[in-house]
Amino acid sequence: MSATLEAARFPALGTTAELVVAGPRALAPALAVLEAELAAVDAACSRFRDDSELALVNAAAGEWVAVSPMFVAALDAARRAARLTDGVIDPTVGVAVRRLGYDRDFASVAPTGDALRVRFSAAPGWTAIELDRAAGCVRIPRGAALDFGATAKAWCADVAAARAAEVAGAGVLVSLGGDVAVAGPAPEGGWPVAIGDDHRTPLDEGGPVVSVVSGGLATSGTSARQWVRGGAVLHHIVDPSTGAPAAPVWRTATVAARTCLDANAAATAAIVLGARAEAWLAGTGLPARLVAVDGTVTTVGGWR
Amino acid sequence: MHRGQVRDEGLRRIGSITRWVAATAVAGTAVLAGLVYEATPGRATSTASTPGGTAGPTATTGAVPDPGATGGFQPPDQAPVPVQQAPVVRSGSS
Repeated sequence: MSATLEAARFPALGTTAELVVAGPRALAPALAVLEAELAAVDAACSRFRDDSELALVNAAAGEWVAVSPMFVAALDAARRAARLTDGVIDPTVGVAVRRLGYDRDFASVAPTGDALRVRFSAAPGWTAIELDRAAGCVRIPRGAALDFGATAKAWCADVAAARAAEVAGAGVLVSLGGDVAVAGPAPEGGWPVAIGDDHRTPLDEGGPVVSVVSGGLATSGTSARQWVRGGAVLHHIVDPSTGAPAAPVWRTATVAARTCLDANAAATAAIVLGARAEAWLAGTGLPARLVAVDGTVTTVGGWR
Repeated sequence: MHRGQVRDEGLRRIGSITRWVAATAVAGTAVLAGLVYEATPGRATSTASTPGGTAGPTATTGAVPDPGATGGFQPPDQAPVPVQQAPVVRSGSS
């Protein structure tokens, strides 16, 4: 006997949203939940909308700004990632990312251009973000800018999967740009998920496939969002300690955790940590798979 | 039958019919909404079967994860295991 899986795929948050459900008549209600979560996260967290709450907070750096509970939750997610990684992932890299030329939706970023004439500098640091939870207000240091790019998609995948599973009464998988969260009863044998450099690679083009039965699985890498300035290859994963793109040690880092948020935080931290990633990941106890730039595969934490 | 009893009986019947019509309308609207959703153009939807894929015993809670949780990293209930199945999505950088 086999369970019917139904799926939907559409563009969202500057990437691809994918939804898979394991249960009859579950797709429509699950899709409605996912679309609502995506719209709410986009309105709160987009760097590329002038009217997003994140844009308003950045524009008013140095001043207190009233924000929604959704923004507070997104900020909590970003601060959790920063705390768990000792600041290797930091939401105050907004200015650094802009300096690199990634200042608009990636589809609009010119693939090549003149050399950048910028001086990289460390991010202000996530502990400088002030949150008055009772008043629902946020203040960031003058001159700083927030970027939730390292956490918003994964956190949204967690929330959408959990809520969709509850509403649809079925097992649900949500993937936002390859950040995968599952909730509810998994199909027998788990959810089969392929691993690769780029989440857009067609499913029939090979690569290892693993079974995921709960929590989250995320892959970070530098190959999907690259651009060239003056012959230098740049990418979107910034080392907060320098403000520059992370050194190219790993092509991808894939991590599994209890939530997609934590999995993605660890995967992105591994890219930033470079040669120190393997030891750091081993200390987290999370199963992980690292692919070096030369293709060498290293696994830690019980990843088989 | 007394005229008042006839009127009360009529009102009871009307009330019963009204409730039945309302319940049918709500149920019908829900069914139609689902059908319209699935028939909406522009949605890339697909159906597939997973071998031996009845809903298994593995059930995670539907609780929404708390991003403000103060604990540390937690591994998943089960580490990813290699399988020989057609994948449903690909995890890769974006």
